[in-house]
Amino acid sequence: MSDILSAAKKGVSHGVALGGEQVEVYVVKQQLTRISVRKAHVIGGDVVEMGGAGVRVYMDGALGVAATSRLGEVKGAVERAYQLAKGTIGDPEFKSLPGPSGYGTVEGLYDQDLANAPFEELTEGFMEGVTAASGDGELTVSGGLTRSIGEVAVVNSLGVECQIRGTSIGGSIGTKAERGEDVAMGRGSIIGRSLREFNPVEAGKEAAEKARARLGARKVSTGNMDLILDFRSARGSIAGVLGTGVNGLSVALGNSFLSDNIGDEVASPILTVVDDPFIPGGAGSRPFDAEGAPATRLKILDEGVLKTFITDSYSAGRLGISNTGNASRRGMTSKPAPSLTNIQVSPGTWGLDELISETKRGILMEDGGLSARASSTNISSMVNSGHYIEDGEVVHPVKNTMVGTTVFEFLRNVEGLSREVLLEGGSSSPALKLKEIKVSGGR
Amino acid sequence: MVEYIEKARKILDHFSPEKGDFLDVRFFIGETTNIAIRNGVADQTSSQANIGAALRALIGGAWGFSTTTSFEEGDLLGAMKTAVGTAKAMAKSIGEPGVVTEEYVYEGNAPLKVTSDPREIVMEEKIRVAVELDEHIRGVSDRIKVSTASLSDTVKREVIVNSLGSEVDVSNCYISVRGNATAREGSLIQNAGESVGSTWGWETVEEVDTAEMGALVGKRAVALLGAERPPSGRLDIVMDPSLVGLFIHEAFGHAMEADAIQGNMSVLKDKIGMEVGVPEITVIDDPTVEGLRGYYPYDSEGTRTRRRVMVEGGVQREFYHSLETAARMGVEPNGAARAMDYNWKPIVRMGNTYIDGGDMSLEELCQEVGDGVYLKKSGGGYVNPSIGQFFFSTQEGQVIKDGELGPLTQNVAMSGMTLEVLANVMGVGKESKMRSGSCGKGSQTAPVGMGGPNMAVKGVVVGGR
Repeated sequence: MSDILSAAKKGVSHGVALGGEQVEVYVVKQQLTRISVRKAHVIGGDVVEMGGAGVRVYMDGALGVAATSRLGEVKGAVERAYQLAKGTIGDPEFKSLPGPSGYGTVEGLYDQDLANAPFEELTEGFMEGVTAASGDGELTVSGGLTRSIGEVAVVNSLGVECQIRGTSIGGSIGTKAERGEDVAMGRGSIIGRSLREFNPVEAGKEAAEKARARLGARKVSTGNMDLILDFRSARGSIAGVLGTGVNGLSVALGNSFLSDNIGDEVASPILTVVDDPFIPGGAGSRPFDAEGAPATRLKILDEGVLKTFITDSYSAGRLGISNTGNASRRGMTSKPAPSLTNIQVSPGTWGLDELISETKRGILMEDGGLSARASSTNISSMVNSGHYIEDGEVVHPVKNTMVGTTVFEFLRNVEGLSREVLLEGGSSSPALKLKEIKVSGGR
Repeated sequence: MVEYIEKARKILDHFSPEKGDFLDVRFFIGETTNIAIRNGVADQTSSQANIGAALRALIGGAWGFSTTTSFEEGDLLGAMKTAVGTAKAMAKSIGEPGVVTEEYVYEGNAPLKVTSDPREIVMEEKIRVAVELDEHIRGVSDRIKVSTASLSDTVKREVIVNSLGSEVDVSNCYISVRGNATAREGSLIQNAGESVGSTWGWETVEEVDTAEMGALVGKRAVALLGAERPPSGRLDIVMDPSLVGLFIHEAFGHAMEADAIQGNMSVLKDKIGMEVGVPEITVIDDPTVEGLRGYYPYDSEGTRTRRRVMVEGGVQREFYHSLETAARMGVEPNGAARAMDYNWKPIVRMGNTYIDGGDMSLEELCQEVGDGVYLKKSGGGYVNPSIGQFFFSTQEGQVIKDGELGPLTQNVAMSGMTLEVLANVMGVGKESKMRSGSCGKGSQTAPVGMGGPNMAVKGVVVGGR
């Protein structure tokens, strides 16, 4: 048995012996290798051991949480959590932590080659990307790379006992292009779980191309116009807006904008969205969630019709619906909450070039997205990187431009999706066109 | 203190750094409790112990960094060897070598300065205050669907010892009280929040009038349900102190950080001694003001902090520095290297950043604007210091018509170019007010203070819904 599973089990036993009604110990152990680059050269490297244990103890619906960065001190954390549970206010809506269950299989979460890759090899590879990004040296390049090797164990007093290990490689290469006073930025990303997906040169080239193409940005005038979201912007916007609306906790609390809408057509009929935690090697892929509940593949939107919420054990219990296994944690002491894993947005029938050529007046938004905030139905976002479209042609990059809409309009006003999709980090999304959105410009 | 310093010295004594090399050991001991009461029940009652050591090595011009959660000599030594080995492995790939100047050595002991240590307050009392605040928020109206009251306290201690001779032991306390309300009417959802934060002790919480704070938050969320849509386009605006604080921190402050300057990632590169705004603008950053959330007497490299005049009468005077960025620019370090905890290296950060007060009242600023919008209660923000482009949203606004404040509007967003805003300031209000914040940079968050007076600006892009 690994030391983290053993530590978790001992912690749960201790909590039960103390008198905890339901006890859960969540343990993470992670080694991060980081490389930092400034002005196209390495500054230094880090080797960091991160992790710790998070403990939840429930007594009569009252929850005490304690965490420690030291695996040798789980027992003390269990005792603190127990004391806190005894002293706090119970939640009558709490039903139960998850019970034991079988799990599906997810391929490609751990890659031995990536785990074994020496620091020097990762550095050399990353520097090839940095070189590709700097062009003939006329671009300023900065960036960072992180390789993570980690394992997670979740054990609870109801019989959940699970453990998984994973690897990941993530990073970004940023470029700055300058022409006199004119400045523009580009960015390329590295995301994967295996050494095979370590593609720094591609990321570097993308960063360079984007920075160059964004020189000469101009302000636009205020008005209503179409908005085309590139693949990443579409993915980010849909995950952000839908992820907020279908969040079971928000639904249970009554502050989701989709609370009473299961079975309703809440979005454009061309939108079908699936959340799939079983994509091989996906960034959000996992056989079980952060509470040890089995992960499930969910059709969330079917031709615009809302099919399900996403839940963790608490929100499922409170709503009286099944636990979809979407719990995730932001930190050791944070209570798990539902979130999406890998979204799959079905492609449409348009070519990306057709979405642009059929636009009379609009903005093409790149590498960004519209962000929704929980507890507000308004959306205001800056077009951090984008281009102005007129009479079907991309005319110039934009600056100092904002878009404003609502979550309802965003979902309903999708009028075109591209045939092409971007598969990245386990998610898949086409580009998307929204009709008539409010654009505020600086001209 | 002696125990940790001796431990660190023992580790450092194992190495014989050559001229130009540098090693440091930083012990971090953090204890946090969080209480959140939502709609009358405890959403969170938690306690966290975050303990570990961070070890850095600058060898042959390259940095190596490693951590351990153990304070045993063998583990600390192992982690330092990893840092040294990593630096050596990196040294062949560096461009400009990293540097630290030998002349700046600090010794100091800054124990916790609080009247009432939050660790000695029983959990029942913390829960009682949060329950009270939550009830006051929800009591405003049945249209408030979600009320949340949160209390957070952290006591942290850092002991920093380096190969140049610095020995610093510094403790600090962070307290915050937050109230949040989500109001709903049909499909319309609006949110309002208020927070109070300090580096004093539990006395901060005792000074909060929960009835007043709860009523304020609840009433604002309900009022926003009936608020107008904000105007959009290029408008003259007045920013309230919270937004001026966010602007000066995010849009301008990050561009003044010397790591951004030296990485050619700031619009303020080469601007020392040059005009960056109208003469009415003076920007101060003072991490030595006790009680403010950005207070810290020594930074995470052990450098003693001081009051920093960043911009004086519209002229750029100074940048924020770590030991390394200061050495590169040939100036004295000014104590701006801060680390979130032991898992992260110190990076260049702000403390308490604000625009100094001017001489105009809010009424005069509105008169100056004529027709425009008053942006209030800052929300989130985003900035790109390389281009100098920013975006901020506010919780609410007020229309300015014929120089008078008019109806309430829903959340307003603004976007602009940093240097254009400082050049287009129409007037600076009298009284500078500070607020608490958390700043994110490079995956690390840092407690900061930010603020300023009301400020009128010409021709800013305003939008949102």
